[in-house]
Amino acid sequence: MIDNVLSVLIFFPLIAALFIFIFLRSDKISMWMAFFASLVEMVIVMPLMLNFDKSVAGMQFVEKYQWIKSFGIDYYVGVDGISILMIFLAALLSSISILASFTYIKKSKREFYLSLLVLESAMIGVFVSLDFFLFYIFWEAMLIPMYLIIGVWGGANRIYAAVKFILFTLAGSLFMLLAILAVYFKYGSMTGDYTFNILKISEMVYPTQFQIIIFLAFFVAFAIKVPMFPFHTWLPDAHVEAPTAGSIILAGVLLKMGAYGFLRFCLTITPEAAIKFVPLIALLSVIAIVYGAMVALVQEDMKKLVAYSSVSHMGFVTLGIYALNQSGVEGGILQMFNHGIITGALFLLVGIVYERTHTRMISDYGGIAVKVPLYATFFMIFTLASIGLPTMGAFIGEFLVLVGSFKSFPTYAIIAISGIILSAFYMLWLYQRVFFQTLNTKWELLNDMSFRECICVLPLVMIVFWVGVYPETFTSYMHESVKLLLEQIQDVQIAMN
Amino acid sequence: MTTSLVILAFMAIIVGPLFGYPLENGYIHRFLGPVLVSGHLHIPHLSEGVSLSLMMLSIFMGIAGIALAYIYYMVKTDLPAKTAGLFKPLYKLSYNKWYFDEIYKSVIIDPIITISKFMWKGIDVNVIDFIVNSFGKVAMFLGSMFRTIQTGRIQTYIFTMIVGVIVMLTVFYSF
Repeated sequence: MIDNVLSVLIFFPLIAALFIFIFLRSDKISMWMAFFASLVEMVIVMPLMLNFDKSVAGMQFVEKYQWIKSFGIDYYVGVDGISILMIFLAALLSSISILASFTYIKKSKREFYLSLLVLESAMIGVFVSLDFFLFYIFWEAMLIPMYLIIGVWGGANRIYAAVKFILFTLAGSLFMLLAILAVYFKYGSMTGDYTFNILKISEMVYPTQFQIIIFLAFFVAFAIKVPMFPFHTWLPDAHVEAPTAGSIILAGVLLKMGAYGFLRFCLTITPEAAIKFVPLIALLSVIAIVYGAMVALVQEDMKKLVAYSSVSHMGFVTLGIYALNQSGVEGGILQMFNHGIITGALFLLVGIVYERTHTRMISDYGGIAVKVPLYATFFMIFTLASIGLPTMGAFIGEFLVLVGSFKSFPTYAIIAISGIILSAFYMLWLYQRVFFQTLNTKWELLNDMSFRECICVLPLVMIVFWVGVYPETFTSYMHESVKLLLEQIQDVQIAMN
Repeated sequence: MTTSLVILAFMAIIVGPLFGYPLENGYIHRFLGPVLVSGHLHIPHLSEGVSLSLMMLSIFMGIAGIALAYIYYMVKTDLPAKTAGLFKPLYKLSYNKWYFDEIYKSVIIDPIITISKFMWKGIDVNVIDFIVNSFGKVAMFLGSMFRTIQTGRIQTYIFTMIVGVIVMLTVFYSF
């Protein structure tokens, strides 16, 4: 076991990126080096997963060093049952998106892989930071490589999408910065101890009025990131214009940060306000589920369809989290993980065919299943996974969310189920129009997936079935942490009544 | 098609003994019994006469159907056309699967797609995204207004500055 494993996880990709930047000139070697670095990162994540003590609710692998004493800023990192799966997801999807870009990215290859490695560092940093200052640095640092990935390597309308993405997210983060400063000064004035320590700040009980303002500021930041209806319009543009790797990371990891923020900050720092806003958020979640699914239904662009389906699926996540009971929250976290895997895989698959045909329009396809049977098989697996068929991950996640939300708001749970039906509608219809019906003669010479592309998809297939068949491997990580979180909220609920 | 039907026919034969006669004495009931019946639960049993007549009825219906099909399509092959002519509306209805697909399409699928299209083009693009883009437009507009005073001419800047100083001085000293 490596000491300081979290610091190694955060800084290893960054150091690898620096190494490539300084010492390597060749695109090809840099590419392989970046992939190798991301694999090493996966290898470092493994002992973290295996040595994680599932019976402990609090933070583990904690590292704390004084950083800027006069402002109470520490370098403080740790991982608990809520964040550990996200770290795994970030490391896994980073490797896959690097491997998936080998032939996709044609210009400035070296810089592309550097951006991905820097992004990986920042993503892991966001999930392990226990100091608000540190958290905010990683949160913002993440935007820069993502902005470059969309803006430099994206599609035709990439500048618009990149600017929209960055302005949207930045607007949200500034609200969050205000909230962070407000709790910093509030906590400081209440205790005399000015600190950015998230755990300390979370323990304090703040006045209701103050909580509501802070909650709303956090809410805007995280709702944009999730994205919740009606803050979602950056997502289709960003997804469509981003290169495959960008879409995978964006859907797989970046969206999860919004939901993670809800769990980590909104529910702990402002529990009273969170409870007060549950009806509103549950309503917005249900709107997102149905609305996202319906808009996905009529999309003409495959990537846009998957992007809107993300809005729908993330609605399940927020619905589960704000059900505020064990199965809802666990389902929400599991669904975050599932969505990362499944939607990541769908973007990967769309990217594979786009690389060959240079079109994402559904109407340009038709009947390609006979030409690319292997591709059609993988696509079918993830189509069914996205719908949430039993034995696949999303079924467990959605089921837990529905059980949890049915206890808290039965009407919404019933409406949310229609989202699953609609998801079968749009995914199967997509599949029918792309893979079946008469073959479009343009694609007579379409090549099936290469060995490298299969390697990209296979781990995702395995995980989808693993979660579906034996979810306990994944849910066991979160049991204790979620229990602790809910106990704290229950105390507040009791105190409120 | 025929092969699958043959397989299904064999399975149908096997299923019969599984349920047993009289009903609820078959293998499946003994197998599932301990799970389903907790002992206190009273489950209404069909009397032997009822189950016997039910079985007879279904056998009779089956045989009658087979016989009718045999007569219609093997013996008197002109009968189907005649019957169709006799019950024209009914024939058409059944020929078109009771128009189930059409009804389904116009009652469920088309409305959903129309509403979805409205949500996408009407709400998502023209309301929500319009508001989002308006923020950008307003910023651009304000910028384009303020840029006109940034002429880059030192004379203008100095002149404006002096006017400003005079205004400020008058304001401060007149109160």
